[in-house]
Amino acid sequence: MTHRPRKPVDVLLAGYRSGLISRRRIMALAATMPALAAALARPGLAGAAGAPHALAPAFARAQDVPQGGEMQAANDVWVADTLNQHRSNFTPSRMVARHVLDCLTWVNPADGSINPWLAESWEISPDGLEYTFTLKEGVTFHDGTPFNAEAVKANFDNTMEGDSFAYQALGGTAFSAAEVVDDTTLTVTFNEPHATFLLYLSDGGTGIDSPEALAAGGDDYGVGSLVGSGPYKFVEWVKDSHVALEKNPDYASGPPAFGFSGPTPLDRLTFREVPENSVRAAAVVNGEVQMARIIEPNVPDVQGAEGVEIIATPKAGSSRMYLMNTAKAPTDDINVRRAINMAIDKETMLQLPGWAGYGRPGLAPLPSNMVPNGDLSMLVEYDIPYDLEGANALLDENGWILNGDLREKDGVQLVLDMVTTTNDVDAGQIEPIDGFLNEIGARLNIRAGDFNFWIDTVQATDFHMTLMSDSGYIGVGIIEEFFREGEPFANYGLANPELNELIDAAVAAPTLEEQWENLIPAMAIIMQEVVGVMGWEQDYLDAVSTRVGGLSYNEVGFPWLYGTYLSQ
Amino acid sequence: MAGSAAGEIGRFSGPRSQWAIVWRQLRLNRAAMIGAALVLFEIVLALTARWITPYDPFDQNPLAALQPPSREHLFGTDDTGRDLFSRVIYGAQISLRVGLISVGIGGGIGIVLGIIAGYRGGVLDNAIMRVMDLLLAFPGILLALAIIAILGPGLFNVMIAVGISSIPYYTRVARGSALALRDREFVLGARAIGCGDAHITWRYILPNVLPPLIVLATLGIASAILTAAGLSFIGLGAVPPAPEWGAILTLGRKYINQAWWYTTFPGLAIAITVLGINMLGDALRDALDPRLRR
Repeated sequence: MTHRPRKPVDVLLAGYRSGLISRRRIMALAATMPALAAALARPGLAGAAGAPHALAPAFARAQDVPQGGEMQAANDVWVADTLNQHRSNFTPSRMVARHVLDCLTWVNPADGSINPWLAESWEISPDGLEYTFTLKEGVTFHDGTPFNAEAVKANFDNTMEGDSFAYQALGGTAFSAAEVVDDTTLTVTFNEPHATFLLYLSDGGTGIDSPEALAAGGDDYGVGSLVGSGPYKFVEWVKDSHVALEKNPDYASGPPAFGFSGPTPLDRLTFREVPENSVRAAAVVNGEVQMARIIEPNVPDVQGAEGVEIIATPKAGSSRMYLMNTAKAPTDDINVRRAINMAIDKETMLQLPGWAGYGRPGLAPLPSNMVPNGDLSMLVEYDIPYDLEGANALLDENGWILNGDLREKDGVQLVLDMVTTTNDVDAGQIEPIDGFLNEIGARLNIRAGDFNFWIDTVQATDFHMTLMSDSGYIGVGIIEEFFREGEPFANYGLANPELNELIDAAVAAPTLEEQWENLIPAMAIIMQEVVGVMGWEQDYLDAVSTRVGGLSYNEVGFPWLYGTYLSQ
Repeated sequence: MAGSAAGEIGRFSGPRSQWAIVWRQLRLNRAAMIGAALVLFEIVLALTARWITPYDPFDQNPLAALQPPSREHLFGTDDTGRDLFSRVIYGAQISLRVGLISVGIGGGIGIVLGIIAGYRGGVLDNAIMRVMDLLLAFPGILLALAIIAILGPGLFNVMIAVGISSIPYYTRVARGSALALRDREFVLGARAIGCGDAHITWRYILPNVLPPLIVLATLGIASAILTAAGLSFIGLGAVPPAPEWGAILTLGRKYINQAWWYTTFPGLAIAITVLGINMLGDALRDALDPRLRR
């Protein structure tokens, strides 16, 4: 397997996306390279290395942009369970809800800063256990209910009654109470530090609903109704079909740091569900929808289509990792795990149709867009680069003898159970690994099924390898979920006391700075333990009509269509 | 005319076995010959795949991904650069195996149950047929899906599922025939000379219930291939890198706008195989049923 030649511009863009080249440096280079300048001018690239998309330019002049019209955005599934975020556990559902619900804080995806939204300001006690919020005045929910401290407390109390993403976001068992001080002041206390609290408050999952509607809706809330104070009002949700929203003409409470706070230009916004990937891509090309989240194999269907462009947004979450079971032979042997890493040529892999050239070779459990300043350089020394000869030599040295096409040791063949979902197989991101492993005399036994099969089999640790990742922008939660001994998804034999201590310290850290001081060395240990192949840093891909202007993305990498407009 | 007359005389001049008559009927049926040729062709491809395929069907070549048909790759390549011609040819082995094993499971169990029910009658007949009624209450594909849900995905489980879901059809046909045969003179005669039930069913009932079941089994092979391909298509059957036609189709469908060859050739392979087996099955039915003989 050889590398495809890459153009200098592509190499520079890849370096910029991965954070290895700074924004200042890339701009300096662009001044002398017209091709690079043109490439950087394309939507999607300006947001590389943690800044998903250019934000400000559209909104400074949002009042001057075309008003009205309906925009349709397609995904395979938008709402799997409910739009009631006090009960939902489904990421896209939160992304839809955030168009209806305003949040207390707003995370600027361009720099990761936490900014006021419905909370005008806040104070944190020195021990990190008490947060006092000063809330915005004059905001009303779509049903006329006033927004105040009582409303926020009612939301938090409701969240704590059920198991949901929001429950975890509010700290789970660490959450103690929300107390109303006065109409615009609220105090939240914790049993133990919850350093990511303010970050989580920017998520649609912790958006603030009208307490009146929440109480009146009962079990139907989030199905037949959803009432917030956001730029769009809920119209209807038809399961497996669409969520329809309409403009809130009275909206005036956009996040100040967003650069625009008035009513959104669009009259209607519809989140349409189109499960079949090819059909979804074709829907943008045909003009049936103006935006569609697509998968990599469908990139050529969209590339070159008139009036459509592809926007790549670094996915917030973990890298896409081929985790290995360190408690089950033969992947219990670190040399086998190391040889597997050396056999996989990530650069070539990313050029295959299953990746279509998008994404970046993975380095660490968290991708570059998830770490401060996009800087993973301190972990490069632990990376295991592609080295086919070295991989074969390593296996030879460790007694894995080639017998025909397969290596054997003590009568055991180097055949690895790859447990995965049919979706991942279908996306073309499993079979190529088998191809790479064939080159070192190993083979994958691919066992694919639906999500339940995968989760059950992985939980039962009945695997050698599995493609694993999670979405979300709270790094500590992801590291804890996959690598802290005792956590449900960290049950594949990894047992390193030092790692456990570092993760625990990161979880308990009162500040984000202290959190990262523990997370970076934790990732170094994870890489030294070679618990998997850090496959690639994934991009979310959206095919977008060029009629769409003022497009922005949230910190999770999903579109936030506030201020978005349609030109003729 | 003389030759023709001689042929007519010859035709009635001596006793001929049923199978000789069937063979003659088949030879006269052009559709049967085309169907047989297609089936034979597939069998030959399956048996000689190792020697006639230009590439290893599992060999990936990332630099040759999604290449259109050419001299090097007659059917083009897939998304990992594997040669689709080689994979489709090897897929014939899998499809034939799926068809034969599924029919073997369904037919084997179904015929035994049917003969027992028809020959013995009474409570046993009632019990067996009520279970069959229960199985028939579910559409075949739904039953297969339910069985796979229990057994888990995989090609062998698909064979079991397809086989089990076809049992009632064989049972019903076998029971009907056995019911009609059990009071016939030759069976009564065998019983009179002291033959046991096992001997009678093996020696006298089974050979006489077989003709309609052969037709059913032939058509069942085509049906099993289609069902297995369908189950693989939805991710419940063969898993990659197995070159099963349905599995290739499902991997290729997302490239349908970019690489028509990826889905076209395995699709054609399924269509031609099923067409050939169905043509042969229809002709067999005509030949084995005296009322339909020309």
